[in-house]
Amino acid sequence: MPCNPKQRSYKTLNPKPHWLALILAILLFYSGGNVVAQDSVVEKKEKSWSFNGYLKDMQTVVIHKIDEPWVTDNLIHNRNNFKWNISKSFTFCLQERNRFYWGDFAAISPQYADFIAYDNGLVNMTWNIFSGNSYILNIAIDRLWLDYTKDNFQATIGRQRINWSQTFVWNPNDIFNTYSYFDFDYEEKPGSDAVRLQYFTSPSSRAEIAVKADKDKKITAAGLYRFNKWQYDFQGIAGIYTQSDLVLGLGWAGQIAKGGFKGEMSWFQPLQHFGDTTGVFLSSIEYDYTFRNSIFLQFEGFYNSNHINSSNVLINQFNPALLNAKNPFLTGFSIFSNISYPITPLISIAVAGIYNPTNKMYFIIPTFTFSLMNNLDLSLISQTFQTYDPALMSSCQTSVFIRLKGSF
Amino acid sequence: MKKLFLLILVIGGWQGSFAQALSAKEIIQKADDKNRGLSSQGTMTMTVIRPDWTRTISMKTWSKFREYSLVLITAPAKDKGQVFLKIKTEMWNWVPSIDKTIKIPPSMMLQSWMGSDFTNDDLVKQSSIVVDYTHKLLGREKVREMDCYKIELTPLPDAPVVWGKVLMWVTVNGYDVWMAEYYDEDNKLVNVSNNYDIRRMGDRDIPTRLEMIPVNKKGQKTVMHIVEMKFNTGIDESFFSQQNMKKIK
Repeated sequence: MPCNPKQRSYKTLNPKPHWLALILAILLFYSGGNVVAQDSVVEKKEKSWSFNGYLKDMQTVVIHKIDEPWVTDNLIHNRNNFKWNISKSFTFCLQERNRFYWGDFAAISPQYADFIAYDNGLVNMTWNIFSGNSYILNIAIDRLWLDYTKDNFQATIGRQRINWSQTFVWNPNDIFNTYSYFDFDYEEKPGSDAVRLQYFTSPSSRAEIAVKADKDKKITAAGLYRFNKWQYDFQGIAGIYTQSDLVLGLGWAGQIAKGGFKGEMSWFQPLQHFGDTTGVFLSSIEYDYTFRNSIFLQFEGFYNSNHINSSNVLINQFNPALLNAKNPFLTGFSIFSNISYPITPLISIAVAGIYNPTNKMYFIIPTFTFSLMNNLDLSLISQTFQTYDPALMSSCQTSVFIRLKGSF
Repeated sequence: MKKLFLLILVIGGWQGSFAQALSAKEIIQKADDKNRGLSSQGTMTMTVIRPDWTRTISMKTWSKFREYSLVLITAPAKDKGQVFLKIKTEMWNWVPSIDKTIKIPPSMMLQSWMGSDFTNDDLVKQSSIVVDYTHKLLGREKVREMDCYKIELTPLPDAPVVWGKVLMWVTVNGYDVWMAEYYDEDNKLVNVSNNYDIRRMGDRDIPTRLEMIPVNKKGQKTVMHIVEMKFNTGIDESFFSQQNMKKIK
């Protein structure tokens, strides 16, 4: 699937007002009248807005063979989160990120700039301000929503993250904004352009309807009901995925022997030839346990009945244009395990592994994090992809990431 | 006159013995009630002190009875906005950056923040010093100028408690926990906590600086500082909900 060529570099803000912006503007204007009235009755006024974010620098080194030239790239990454509590009922949120890439990636892969500028939303809010053979400056808005709350009811409109997932790595129930586990540096994960209505039926249960449109104007619409019973959270989902499939799903989060026990499954059935095609079944089950000495163990199994395997697994996992909820990872069974341990309160190490016997592939992901100061962290992460399938040997590689993150 | 004096002495003696008759459990109950109130809300900071570094976390807390609590992290920046909700025996963590509600299994409760000498359990008070232990009054002792009841707490077999035994010194005048010693299952002393700075917080005077010191680690301690606290403000149970977990600020 090619990236949208229109989204190449030198994009500027679209001057035409869009429906989303228009609705936001109207709602903001409308609620503005309430602010004064609200304020006069509030005795002790909390600050009505908040601003936070971070600045990161990450050096990436990709090594195919140790004696062949290494590919390096650097990313300077700033994120700004702004939230405004307009009144008791209305909240506005804007979050954007500014990324400056410089290094070998843009020159080696002609499509790299398109990767970076890819935006799956109905409204394009991701722009390469400028790009060349060795650099890309990108600005992206990944949250832009207005929220209205009244008693047990909540409505959110705009670019938002609708996260129905329960498990850690693979999320069959996360049908609105799929992400890749390997893309660890995108901590917030993408949002989608949607309208979301939630009704909280009790302190730990809710019913929800969400409708999103993607950049091809395809609609995904689904409902969720989540409730709490026998110390478990259960959820059921039903809806239409990108106007092409009926999707039904189940999920849970509970505990066995004091460890977390979570799971998700989804069934996608194509609407065309509904009766005579086989659907796609995705399922993940997770168990995690924290020992008293703070060793944390985590296991997750995943099954993907999809038959379409991607030609280059690793690149697909990093290419948001190729990720989709129906085929979020390799076909067949995959097993994930992770162990982490804080060697000292400031230094923690973790080693994760993923094994997929169906495709003869495995991944090893060691992580080292070091808290340098209250708001400054250093991470060293490596992702090694290996296979024992001779046909895929050439794509074996190791990526090493060194990241410094300052939060504000 | 002599008779009257005798009477006063008798009454006084009787009152004294009445106070003495307060069982160990009742003393702990009073201390717990005072610290907790029917409901409370406040702001506090926790500082982890090590020989060559310190880390501070700040939070706002709300609680009602033993069953409900809500904790909003306000600092450091990278954890800001995270919320922990406890309803009866269940706990959830709200991570706003990814819009995810994570159900926290009991084993994760024993993790500590940045090696803090307080566990998550100390913060959300999953276990109760009243319900989860049996209590024995060992006598009275003076600790840092304060006259205290010395009480031994032994956890019940199924209690969600990490300790083998806890000794508490509760002030006779104010029913404040003034000092505590925490022992592991092999009866070895692990932590000592000292409480200081009794100040007016809402309708009562309570210690506002709590220090937890691990015995075997030199130069280490964790200090909890109560910045602000109000009791019995009449928070409704419905306040402790997943909906409010996402709205609280």
